[in-house]
This record gives sequence, C-alpha cells and structure tokens, in this order.
Amino acid sequence: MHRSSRVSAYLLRLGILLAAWWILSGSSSDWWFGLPLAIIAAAVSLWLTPPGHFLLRPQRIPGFAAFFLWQSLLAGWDVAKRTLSPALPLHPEILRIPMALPPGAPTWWLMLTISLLPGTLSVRLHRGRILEVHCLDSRLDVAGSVRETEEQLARLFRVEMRATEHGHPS
Amino acid sequence: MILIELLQALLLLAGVGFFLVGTLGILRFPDVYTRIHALTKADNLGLGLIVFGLLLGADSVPVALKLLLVWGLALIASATAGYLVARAARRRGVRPWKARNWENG
Repeated sequence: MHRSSRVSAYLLRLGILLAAWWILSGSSSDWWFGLPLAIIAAAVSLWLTPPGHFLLRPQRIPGFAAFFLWQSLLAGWDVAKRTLSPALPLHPEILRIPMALPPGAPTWWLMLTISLLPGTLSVRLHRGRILEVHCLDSRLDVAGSVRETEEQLARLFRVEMRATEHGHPS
Repeated sequence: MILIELLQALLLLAGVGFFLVGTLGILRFPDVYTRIHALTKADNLGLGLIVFGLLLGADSVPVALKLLLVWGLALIASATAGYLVARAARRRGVRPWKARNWENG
C-alpha cells in the first residue's frame, strides 16, 4: 500500500469522524475532547481496517440511495402483508447464489443490503464465492433481485461483475 | 404548518405500526430465519418512517443529521446482527421451515 493512499485514507476517515462528532455534540464547544478522540479513532480504524482498493464513486451514491430506499419500503410492506395475512403466505427456501461481485467490500455490502431488501436474507458465504440466501418466497425471482442489487453495487464501486450461473436450491 | 404536523403524525403512526408488525412477525413466523426477515425489514421501515417524521420537525441541521445517523447505524447493526444470527443457526444445522402442500418446486 502506497504511503500517499494511507495518508489520504487517514484524512478521509478523520474528516468523517470529525463530522460525526459535530453531529453528535450538536455543534457545541466540546472540541477539546472530540478532536483528540477523532485523531486517535482514525488511527485505530486505519490499523484495524487498512484502506482497501475499492473506491466508492460519490456521484453514484444518490442513485444507490434511491434504489435502497424504494426497495426497503417494498421490503417492509411485503413482510407486513405476509405477517398480517391470516393464511401466512410463506414459501421459504435457502438458495445458493454465485457471487458476481469481487470478494471484499462489495460482497460485504451486498450481503448487508440484500438482508434489508424484500424477501432475502444473507445466511452464509462459501469460500467468498457462493452466498446462501434465505428467501421468504422462492416462487419469486430471488436470484434476479440479488443480481440487480449486485449491478447497483458494481456501479457504486466501479467494479466488473463476473459471469456466473443462476442460483439453484441447496 | 398544520399540514406538516398532520404529515408528521401520519409518518410517526405508520412507523409505530411497522414496529408492531415486526413484533407480530416474531410471534407468527415459524422459524428463526423467517423471524429475522420480519424483524429486520419491518423495523428498518418503521424506524425510517419515524426518522422522516421527526426530520420534518427538526429545528437545526445537526439534529437532522443526527436522526439520519441514528437510522444509518441502526440499519447496519440490524443487517449485521440478522446475518450473524442466521449464520449461527445454519452452522448449528437448524433446518429452514418449509411450506406444506406445495408441489411447484
């Protein structure tokens, strides 16, 4: 890892932590505590999580946020409908879906994101390549919606997706 | 002004409703995996609606950002916790509940 990229990663994280402190302390004059804390916390975070080689593209964040907000609205609505329906319409299944995103940050974000999207829940990652997904209704196109989320994340991180086969029941 | 307060009340009530549905889901859903679905998704939307309702009444930028920060951290925490519980259940060999009388698949 180049020295310059470590310095820029440190400054970025320091900036985020200072912003977080400003938000939490309500912009009052507690900087004598917040500033040293942010400096130490940024150093610790660099030590625990060295900068990766995946870069977020800031101009893609609004698009991803819109996708995520709309999908979490659908997810909450879907699960509420199933809960309140007297028949309890569930057809759960664990599917194995090959990952098209590269391992590392993009795959982790995918696993977190799909757990909040309609009808999908990350269960286990096999050798970093095959994701076990628990779905509430296997009659829906689960592999397709995971693929769509992967495409969104690939755009957010500017990474290439690998060709994979479709998911199949485990 | 009264319109904003009305909208706020609607958003807060809807948010509370989704929290209630999430809790109902824990009681009604048949196994650990489906219960995680109910909790993470319904609570995510419930908290989101409450946060947006409160945003309408936020009187300063730090307060508004604090609300969004709370939501973001809660999202990451619930998705992570849901994954860890599901993975622990899977590793212990908990079999997912299956619908009976279902022949299409």
